[in-house]
Amino acid sequence: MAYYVRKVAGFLVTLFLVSLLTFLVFQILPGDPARVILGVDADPLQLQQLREELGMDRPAPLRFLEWLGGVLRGDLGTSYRYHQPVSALLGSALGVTAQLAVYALVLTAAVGLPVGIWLAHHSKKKYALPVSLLSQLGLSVPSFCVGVLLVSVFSVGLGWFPSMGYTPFSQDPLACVKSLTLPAVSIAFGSAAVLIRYVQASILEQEGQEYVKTARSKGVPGSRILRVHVLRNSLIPVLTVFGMTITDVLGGSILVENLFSLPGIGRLIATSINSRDLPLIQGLVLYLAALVVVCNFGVDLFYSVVDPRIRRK
Amino acid sequence: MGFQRVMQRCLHKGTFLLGAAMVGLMLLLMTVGLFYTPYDPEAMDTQHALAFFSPAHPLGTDQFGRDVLSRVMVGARYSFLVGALTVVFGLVLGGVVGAVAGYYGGKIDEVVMKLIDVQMAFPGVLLALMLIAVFGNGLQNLVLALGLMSVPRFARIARGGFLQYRDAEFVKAARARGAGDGRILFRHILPHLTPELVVTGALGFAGAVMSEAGLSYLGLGMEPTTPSFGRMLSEAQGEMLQAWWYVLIPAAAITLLVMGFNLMGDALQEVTRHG
Amino acid sequence: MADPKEAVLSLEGLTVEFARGGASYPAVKDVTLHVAPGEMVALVGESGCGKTLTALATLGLLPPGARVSRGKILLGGTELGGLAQDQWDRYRGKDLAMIFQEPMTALNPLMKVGRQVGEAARMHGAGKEEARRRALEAMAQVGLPDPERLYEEYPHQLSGGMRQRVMIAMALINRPRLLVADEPTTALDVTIQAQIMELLLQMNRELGTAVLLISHDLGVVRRLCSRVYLMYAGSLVEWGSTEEVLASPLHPYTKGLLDSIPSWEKRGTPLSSIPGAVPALEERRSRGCPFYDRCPRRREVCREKSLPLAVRGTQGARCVDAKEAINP
Repeated sequence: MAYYVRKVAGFLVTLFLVSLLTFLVFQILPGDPARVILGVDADPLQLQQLREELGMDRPAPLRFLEWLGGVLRGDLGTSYRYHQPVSALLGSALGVTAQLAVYALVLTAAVGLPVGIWLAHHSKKKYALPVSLLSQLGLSVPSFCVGVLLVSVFSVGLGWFPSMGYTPFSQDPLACVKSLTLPAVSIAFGSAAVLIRYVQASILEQEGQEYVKTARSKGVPGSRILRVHVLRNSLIPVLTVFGMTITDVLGGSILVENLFSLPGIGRLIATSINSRDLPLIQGLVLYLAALVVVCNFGVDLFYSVVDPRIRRK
Repeated sequence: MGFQRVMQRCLHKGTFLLGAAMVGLMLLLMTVGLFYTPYDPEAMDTQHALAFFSPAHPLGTDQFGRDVLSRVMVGARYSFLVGALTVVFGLVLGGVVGAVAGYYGGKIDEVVMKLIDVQMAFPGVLLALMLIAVFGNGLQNLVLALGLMSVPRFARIARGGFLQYRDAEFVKAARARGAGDGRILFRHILPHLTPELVVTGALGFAGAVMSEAGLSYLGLGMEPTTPSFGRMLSEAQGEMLQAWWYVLIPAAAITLLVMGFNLMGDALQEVTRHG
Repeated sequence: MADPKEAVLSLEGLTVEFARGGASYPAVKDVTLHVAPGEMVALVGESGCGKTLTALATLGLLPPGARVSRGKILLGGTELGGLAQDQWDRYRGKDLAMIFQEPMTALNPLMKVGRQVGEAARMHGAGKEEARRRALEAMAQVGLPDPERLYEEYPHQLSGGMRQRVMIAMALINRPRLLVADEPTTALDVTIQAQIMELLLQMNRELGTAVLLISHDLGVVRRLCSRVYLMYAGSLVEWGSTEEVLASPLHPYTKGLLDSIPSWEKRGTPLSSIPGAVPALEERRSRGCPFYDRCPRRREVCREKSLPLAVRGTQGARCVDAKEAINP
């Protein structure tokens, strides 16, 4: 129990610090956010007006607490350009990003786990070099390069998938999946390569453990040793990597959403940077970062389900 | 292991040589580009826009008829510059933060680790995007943003190393001889961490090149007029229907650099870890 | 031991080689030993002398890089040496079982203890319910308190001694003919060591399971085992009934080992030890006596010549010096 209390406390502290950092970057670091929004040659009167709107006349700690209070009530502020609540803009974007992220994660796991397991069992010397080069290629080609190449082959060349845009699921499920496939593959390409490496390394490490020898001494056949003993033990370090993968996927979605013009959080962030809409960026960034923290917290909790040793600590 | 021995082992590894060849090719293009380019990289020739590879234009021309090879030679400059500056920035700041945390431990360490945790919550290029949103784009801000982004990975390595060595016998011996903290940190412990920091540097270089390209692709990296690879890729994407081959060039250039540094870093890591 | 044909286990000229950098080195060399049904036999030597490798070879569990290059492994007359891994699985855990040095790492950390014990029964024909029942029985038999509760626990919740009891329950659940125990108490507290050894002896008596005990502790061997084999640098150097070998050793190595044990009679005199250490695999002599470099009674002939067999009663040794002492 104490374990969970500590975990939750750490989680809340991280969330608080994330929001503090976000506030510092967007409200304190620029000196005068109003000038960032309006540009260098802004009208002094307009500047003054915006400063009041943003509440710049009040001390920073107070503003932070007010903002935080708003966030907790679901009020992330108001977009300067769209004159809409940030939460409303976020709502529609979140659905797209979430769908893309889940799709990419499923692809990553569906490719990374079986291939990693297979490689661990067939890591003969003669495959070692080509395989490591191939996974290195997966790691090294940035997601947006993969995306552009995919578009050139599968959209422009073969015409199988749309090159840009998003169709909502409610409107046409098949078209929705189609519109997200190339973006999800672009993201999963790299993260699957990472996962493959870790799965392979982890299984090879576990197979050298003493308990495997014990199982063999009982007459447990090799296939069952892998299935019952090794896989679950290998999963523990892989879980950590999967937590990192979630972060990667969310980070990758920023670029890929722009590449494919998907109306998700990442695209909204890029356009709002171009329009210097600080309140909107601030809300979006906080939301994305909080999402990462929540996902990693989930992975942490899942750990304790898989590994009985952790619950006791 | 001495530096010479590490290099010797590396030179016997195929992956290291392949990586070195990739980086070497880009380095060669860049160096030659400093003195000579086949064409003026900015010279437009709309009559020959989007030309396929040919003896006159080995890598074709872009939408304004500018020679792509010349632009790659110039663009490589910025990738190397951003990569190198970012690594130096991350190495110095991350190294100091990590050293202090690992060597002194206790509360300082806890605070630093928590900060690193918090920074990890901003995935991929998000942290860089935040700073660019506030300060605007351009080389300086880009290096600042990417440098800050790479601080945690250096800090972790330095922290781990200093934690491991602060109670080692040779450190105790140095302390008994009356060496100060600064001397112990730099003269006695730092040399032990060099291999790992070099590995992290190589991987960090690859990461910086990748992020720079990504940000420039979004139009939020270098100044828009700079022929950086990310910018070229985004322009090429717009011309895909007319010239599918054009996207291959910037994509290949980015991949060569990133993969080259990754391969070298990986090989170096294997050599220093397993001998 | 009267007749090798009745033995539950016979190793005949067993040689295990390690391949390293193109060359292969024998880590176990021409080992012949027999264990009779219900007997408790010891295999003794310093660390690195090939005891554990001999034990692993007996169950077909050699690590990658090692292989049986010569000799036979006979289980009640059946040759196991050339079996494929899936054929080994029919014997392992059923006719042959093993317990290991480190009860900490020898159990799967993520599987309930009871299931791990029961798995041995499951693998040899028992159904789910039966495996559970027999696991609980076996756990009670090895003196684990409250088996019903322990069945549901994970290894990290148990003490080292309890874990080794679990290992023994697991090994004996199918009533094997032979149990190989590889230094089962080295990792445990001294007080627990005696309990575990006592348990092994008790199981040997109650179930009639023959035990091959790998050990470096001659004190333990004296109390438990009827016969003993001494191994040095991969080769057997002396063997015989424990009583005779320990009372009047033939081989200088055995003498050296006995002299280095502290005892009541020797109080007040400085404890002797054998100078040097077991040579590394690559540095071993390919001819002559393996103990030559450390032997206090070595001769010139020991360096190159193959060694004569010295026999006295049940006792045997490979040593020129011993041979001359018996028939001068």
